Amino acid sequence: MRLTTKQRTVHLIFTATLVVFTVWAIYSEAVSSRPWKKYQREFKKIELKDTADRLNNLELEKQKIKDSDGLKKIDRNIELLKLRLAKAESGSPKIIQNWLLEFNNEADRCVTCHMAVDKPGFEKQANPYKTHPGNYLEKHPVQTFGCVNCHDGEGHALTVEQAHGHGENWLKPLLSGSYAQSKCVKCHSLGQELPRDIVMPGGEKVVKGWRLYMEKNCLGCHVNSLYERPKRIAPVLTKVGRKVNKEWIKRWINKPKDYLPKTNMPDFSLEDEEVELISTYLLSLAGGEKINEPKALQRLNDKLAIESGKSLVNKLGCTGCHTINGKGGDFAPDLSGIAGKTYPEFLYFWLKDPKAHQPDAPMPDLRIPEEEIQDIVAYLFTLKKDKEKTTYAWDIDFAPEVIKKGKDLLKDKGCTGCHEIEDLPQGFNAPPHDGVASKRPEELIWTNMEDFNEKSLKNWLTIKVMDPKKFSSKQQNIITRMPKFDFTEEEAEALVTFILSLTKENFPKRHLRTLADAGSVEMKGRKLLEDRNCLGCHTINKKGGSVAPDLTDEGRKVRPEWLFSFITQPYRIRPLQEARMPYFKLSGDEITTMIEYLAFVSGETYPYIYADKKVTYEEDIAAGKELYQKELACLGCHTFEGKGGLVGPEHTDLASRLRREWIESWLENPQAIQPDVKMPRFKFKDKEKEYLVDYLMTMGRERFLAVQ
Amino acid sequence: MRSNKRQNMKNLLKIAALVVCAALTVVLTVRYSAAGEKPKLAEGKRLYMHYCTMCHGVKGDGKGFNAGYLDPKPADHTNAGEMSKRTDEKLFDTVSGGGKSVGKSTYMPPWGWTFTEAQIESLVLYLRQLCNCKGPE
Ligand code: HEC
Repeated sequence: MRLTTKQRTVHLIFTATLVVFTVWAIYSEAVSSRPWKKYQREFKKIELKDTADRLNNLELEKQKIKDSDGLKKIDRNIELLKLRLAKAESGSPKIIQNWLLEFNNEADRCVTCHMAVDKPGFEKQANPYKTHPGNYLEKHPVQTFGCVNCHDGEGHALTVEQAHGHGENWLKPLLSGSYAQSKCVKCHSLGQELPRDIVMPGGEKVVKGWRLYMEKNCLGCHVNSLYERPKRIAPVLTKVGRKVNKEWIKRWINKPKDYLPKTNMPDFSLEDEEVELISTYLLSLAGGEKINEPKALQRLNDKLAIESGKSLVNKLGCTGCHTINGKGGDFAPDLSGIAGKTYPEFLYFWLKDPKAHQPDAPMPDLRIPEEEIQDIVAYLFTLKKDKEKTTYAWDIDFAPEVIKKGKDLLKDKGCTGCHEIEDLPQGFNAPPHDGVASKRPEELIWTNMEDFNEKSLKNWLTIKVMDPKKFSSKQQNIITRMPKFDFTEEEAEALVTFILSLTKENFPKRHLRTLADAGSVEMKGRKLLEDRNCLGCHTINKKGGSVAPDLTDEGRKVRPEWLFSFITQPYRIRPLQEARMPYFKLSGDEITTMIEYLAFVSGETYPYIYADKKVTYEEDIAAGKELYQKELACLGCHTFEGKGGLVGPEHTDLASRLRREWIESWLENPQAIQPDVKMPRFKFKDKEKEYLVDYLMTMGRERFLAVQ
Repeated sequence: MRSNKRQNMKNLLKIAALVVCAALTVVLTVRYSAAGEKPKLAEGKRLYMHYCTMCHGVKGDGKGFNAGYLDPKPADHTNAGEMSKRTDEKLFDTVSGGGKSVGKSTYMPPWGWTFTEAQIESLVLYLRQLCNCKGPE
């Protein structure tokens, strides 16, 4: 049969169309509509080259090796690599998928392109050909946990744009870089009771954010069902009018960081009039009551008193918490400007017993004698004073309507989130933080930022945290009450990372862990130490201050019952020790925690097992006494029952304070325990040391028994 | 066979000689480096200030804050008359072995197990500066 021209043309057209379609189909299949294939091919190349290079290197190495063990080992490695090579060579591109059975049965196909995530050796490649950094996958195998549980994005999507969560209507865009750490705390939850210096290897950023969230007391205004609203962290203001002057309080409210650059109090960006109203209300609260302490004025301007005060603030341990004239800690406020804030009588009254002014004041009673308080007051009042004129509450005529206006304004600003003031209820109705991180960008207010084209939750939070008033607008009546905390960019990033963890999603119970057991001796102890700033003065494991004794060895050194009585009621042990252990007024439980923690730190089990339940003989004790008094002349430096030198700690209560084992190791070599101690090392013959300790253990025995 | 045995002997000797040499070198190096640690006045002053002034006073005049209880009183190291009667060796022995070792009060503690020899020599240097005197020849 012959074909007509027409038929031929039709045939040609069909053939041509078929060819075009076939070519297009192949192209589309191979390149455009399945972009992942390109990545797989590229990775295959990289892997083949890498494996071949390694094989080569091993073969070269093999020639140098002579011993049979080494040969065996290298042969085994070569074999493994060959297997890997064969595996890489075979197989055509295919979608790789992890079924996340424990996580809502989700399909996670990220590894289709990110083929090297769990293959070591590709650390230096660029994404997507890179090995996962860090050791996260060791405990979170990608087959079980997938990628999206930590990184968000759209796990089953297979195009770059969509898989990374930028597809239309997808609610969870990829958490880039360290923002993915926000997911760590979904399972490794950070309990409120944990010490703030807790570490989570690999989760540093989110822990830092959590710490800021707690330190800046976000919970004072925002409720969050994961955490309890904490006790108000800032000073009680009910009696502030008898403490500070008007000029200071106005300046403080206006710009807290002006006076204390490191304060946690944020900046409310108030108008002048608002500052005036709020400070007037606060000052009116004291009812014109002025502290009457005539002794405070007796030694002011006295040169000797000022000198003595200056050395006292360093010696007593004030600088363990406060900075004074550029030196000291920042646990408590810098005192360098105190002369512009309050008046001598108040400071004197406060130093006598801070709890008399504020029953739950964090400052402990330092047991300072009155003359020394006079000196300290005299010294602190020589420091800079920024305003000469000061007006106190008792010099002001308060108008009731101003007071009322001020009070209403103060309630509106949310001051009671952090401060206790009269009987005003705590807190303030800021938007709750439950599930904030599940909000969609469209639910957020983007006033003033309409042109901003990266409208993501993360960006919104960052702007909000850095500059809370950014989205407010007078014309549109959008009022922002949130104050400004002056976070650095790094802090904001950390805080946002933490806030991003406040999503509605729940992970399977089986995987939930607390980062550390907040009820354990270690965590409870660390928290207590932190709350009371013990390390402002003491050192533990090379961390901390140096005005008070190192406590690393304390649990091994002293008796728990002595420690209990000492913390309850401290007294002077070392004549040379100038800093004074304050009365912290801890509860019995807290002291027990402290004792258990110190035992833990020095590697002791608690309660201790006493080694001194040993039988001692009168003759041995007598021999020890002879050594103590004559040979070693211990009283040359130590005092026992009112007699003796002033260099070392008192011996009067020695047996009730120290543990026998510790004394023995101390006598062996004091410098090994405390390198710069002034006590010389003695050499003992035969059983001399034992006799000496036998005698020492009789000193202050009665007190020991009484304490028990 | 025989020559082989002799060869072995020779090798052994060689190794022995080497070991002896090495051991000697090590011993000597240690000795010399210890001896090379020269007493230093500054070190003497630092030690004196930290470990001695409680009793002997910051000025060395025997009036430290801890002297009150002590009987006999701590020695006055600025007293050139007394100090020049004592040789450096004697001072060294007193500091090292304490008062008891030289027939004096045990209130003067022994420091020989706390300090190195060089440190005690440094202390003696500083004592000599305090009294501004020399010991008898
Ligand atoms: C606990 C107090 C105390 C301390 C600490 C002390 N000494 Fe003494 N020292 C004494 C007393 C007491 C004497 C007098 C002994 C006597 O006269 O019997 C003395 C005597 C001496 C003497 C002897 C002088 C003489 O008469 O020969 C020297 C030297 C001396 N001390 C050096 C030192 C040095 C160096 C140190 C520091 C490393 C030191 N002492 C630390 C109490 C002390």
